[in-house]
Amino acid sequence: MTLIIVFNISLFSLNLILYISLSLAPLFFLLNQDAKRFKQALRSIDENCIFESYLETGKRDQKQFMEKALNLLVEKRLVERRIPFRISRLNKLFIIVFILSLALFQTASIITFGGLTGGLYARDLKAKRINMLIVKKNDDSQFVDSDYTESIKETQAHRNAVLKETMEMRRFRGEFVQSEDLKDPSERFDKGKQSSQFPGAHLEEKDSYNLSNELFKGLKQNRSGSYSEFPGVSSEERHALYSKDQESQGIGKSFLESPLKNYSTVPETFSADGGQDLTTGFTITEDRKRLFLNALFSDIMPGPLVASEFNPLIDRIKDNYLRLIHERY
Amino acid sequence: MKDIKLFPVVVILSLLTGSGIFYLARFLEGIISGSLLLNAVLEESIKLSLFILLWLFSNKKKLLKGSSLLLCPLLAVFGFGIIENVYYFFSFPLSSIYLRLLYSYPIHINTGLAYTLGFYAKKRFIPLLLFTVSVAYHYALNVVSLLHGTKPFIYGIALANLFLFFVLVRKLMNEINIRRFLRARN
Repeated sequence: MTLIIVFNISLFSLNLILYISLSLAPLFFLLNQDAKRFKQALRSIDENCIFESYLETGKRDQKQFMEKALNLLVEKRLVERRIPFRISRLNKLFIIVFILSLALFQTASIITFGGLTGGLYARDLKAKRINMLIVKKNDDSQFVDSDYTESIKETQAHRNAVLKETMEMRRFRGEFVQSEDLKDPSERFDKGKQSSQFPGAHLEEKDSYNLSNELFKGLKQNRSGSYSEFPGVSSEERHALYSKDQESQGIGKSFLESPLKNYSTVPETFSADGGQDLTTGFTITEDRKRLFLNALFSDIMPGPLVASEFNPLIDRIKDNYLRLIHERY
Repeated sequence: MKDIKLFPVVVILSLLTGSGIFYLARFLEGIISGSLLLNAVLEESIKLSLFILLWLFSNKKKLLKGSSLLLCPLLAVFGFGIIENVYYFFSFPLSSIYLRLLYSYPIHINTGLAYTLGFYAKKRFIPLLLFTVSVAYHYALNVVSLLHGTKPFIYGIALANLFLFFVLVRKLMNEINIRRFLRARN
């Protein structure tokens, strides 16, 4: 957990690293063997080079000759119970590093979460961490509010700057840019507000709206057709209506991003309100079934779950059973 | 030892071979789509074939004197197990996946160790016997995990697997070290 927080890596990546390392551990046991150590171990229990001589000789009669002395020595060693068990330096280092790491991480876990986190799942840990941060935020709400407002302002300013730059680039390249696009986006936003408040604007909009409705009926009949097919509409009006229609669909215009986006984290903040003792809800984090069995073997495929109502044989058995009951009673 | 410099390269190549045989096994299992027993036979056959290939195309005297070359098929089996582990990790990234390290992964390693020990057997039928025992071991544990995968005694089997691993490693290392020791003395 400390690694996740300090190095900002995902829990999935951490688990992957841990899993591969543990998969490689048996390899370490196998390859970290030294013939010198075996020799030392053998000599530590040997006496007058009996074991070495016995192992060295290849002839059967010589081995048989040595067997008596060898057996005596083996029995002696078994009584003494002197088993040479030595851990290599590298293995000792490995064990020490492992124990220290375990102690360090568990201490960090206790400090951070107030307990050991061994039995928790990745999503539980994340949810718990988020909840803790939210609770902490609520404690320092005044600071959080000011920070939050500032961050929104900064984001908005940055967004406007980027939009302006894009527009200038487009103009430089000679692309068609609508006159409104060249203005400051914030001004455009204000203008939109003002135009909706202007009394004359309502009337104009209403008239054009009625005309649009009539045209829409015609468009329904001929989607690909142009406005020229409608009688009583001049070419200028047609052009104006076409532009309005295009505008209503948002074609050729770049819009300001919705300010509501900035409130995407609000539900999380509300959910933590007044929750000093807030804990992770297991129903949220455990929304899917844990596939326990399938993870064990490559060659185990879960069989299809056949519902009894789809099996005609069961129906036959049921009928026969009921018939027999009826006959008997 | 002459081959000590090449040893890291051999280790990497063997692990890559292991990943190759894993995909081969997967491909063949996909074609056959047989029972658990058939899959166990297939996997064990592929693993054993590596040992047979080594036996056929290498110096037998050198191998029996404790050459590190004998560890190549075993390392390939390790590669097989590791790639399978990673594959399962991406398929089932849950805490229960760690049981694989004690239950399923040692099956592959233990059978690989058994085949390696089969090299040193004096009697010819021993490797065949080891193959049969390995298939039975693989199949039996597959069935047990399928039927009683969520019961606590699975952890007991997992520990038994681990114990068997250490016993086999110790036995193999003793065999190799004795042979190397004798070679050094001669």
